[in-house]
Amino acid sequence: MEAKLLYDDKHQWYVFARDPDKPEKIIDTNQYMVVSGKESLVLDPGGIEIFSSMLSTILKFIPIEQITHLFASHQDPDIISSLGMWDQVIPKAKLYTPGLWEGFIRHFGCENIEFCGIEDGGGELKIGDTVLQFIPAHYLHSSANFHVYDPVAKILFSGDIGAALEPQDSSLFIENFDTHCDKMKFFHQRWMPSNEAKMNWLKRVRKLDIDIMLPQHGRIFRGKEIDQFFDWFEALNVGIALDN
Amino acid sequence: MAKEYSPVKSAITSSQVAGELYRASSIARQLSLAAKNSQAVVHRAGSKVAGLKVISEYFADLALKTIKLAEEINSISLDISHMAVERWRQNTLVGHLRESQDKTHSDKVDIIIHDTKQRQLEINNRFNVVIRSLESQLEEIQQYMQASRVVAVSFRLEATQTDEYQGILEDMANNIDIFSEKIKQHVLDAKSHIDRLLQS
Repeated sequence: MEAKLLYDDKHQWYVFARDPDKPEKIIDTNQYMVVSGKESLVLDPGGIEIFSSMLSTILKFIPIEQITHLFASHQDPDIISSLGMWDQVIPKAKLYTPGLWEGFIRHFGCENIEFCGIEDGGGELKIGDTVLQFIPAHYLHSSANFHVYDPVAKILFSGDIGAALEPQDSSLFIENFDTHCDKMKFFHQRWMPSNEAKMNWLKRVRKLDIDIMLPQHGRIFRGKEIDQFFDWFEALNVGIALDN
Repeated sequence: MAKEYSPVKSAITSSQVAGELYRASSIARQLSLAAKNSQAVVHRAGSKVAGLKVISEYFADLALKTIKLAEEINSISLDISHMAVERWRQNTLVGHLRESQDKTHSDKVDIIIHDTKQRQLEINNRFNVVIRSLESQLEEIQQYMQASRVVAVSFRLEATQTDEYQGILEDMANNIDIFSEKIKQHVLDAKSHIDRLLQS
């Protein structure tokens, strides 16, 4: 699994992606990790099929005792079906995820890890010396859904927003925004159900100061590509299955 | 019959070994750079450090072998990690099937349990073979690092016989020592992770 340090100051952001060992028909996912002091947060740790690659990759950078927190943006299997395994290897960790999904996410196995449900309005989480914000992104696409904003690093983890369906060996970063839009279009039109939810999210995130935007699939956005994405997304009609 | 280790501990151990070897291979790349520098210095110094020519070539070869072996072990550790997780999943499945069997007493569930246990056995045997080979490869890297420290001693000795290159050669000897020691420490940590698993 490819690992890259994205931000390195008093705390660090890593991306783990493009796992060559994952079964072919499984959608490729990007996992992220924030390390601050002796604590860390793994964002959308991924499905059960990539668990061993994820654990091995994380342990290249931090010892197992330092994996203290998990975050799941929503309940999908590619986000958190590995929970039953994390539950055994880091039993003292805490899972932050939408509270609405508790009864569903526990189906993946959560006997030891402490389940910390995030309320609909969002909230904050301190990892080491770093304060992260949970930004509501409900109905995009899941009915209870959060993104994570780091005001110091100016990084927004945007879950399925900004996702693209691409080949396994594609670059981690956007190289040409215009051609990249083709790879994002169907994903957003079909998976995102609500134009109202889309506008609500855009209103929130346009107020944030963002240098890097990290989607859970596809490529990472940097600098002006972020505003370009917001404009493109605003103009896109979503929820298209109802039109058929 | 091959010993069966806890799949949870096995998954953690193999990931820890992969982590140690990833760090060791990063340092081995620095060691390789030091080896290339030493070759350049020996070339520049010519007959003044003639005794070092063979040693620096040996050192460069050793550094490359170390990188290759560390990367191989890293890759094997990942395979072991996948195996451990697969065994873990099979264990969980057998547990659930047994619960189901207690309620249904179905012959079909019996057959599935038997087949799953067979797969578990195969994975476990493979796991045992690979983890033993991993141990011997780690020992091989340790031997490389001992040889590397001998190279450092030779550089230091040669340095005392030159004026112009004394500082450079001494710095090189120190770097070789530091890198070799760091790699050795990661290998020792990897070995102690494996020992803890094998003794569990």
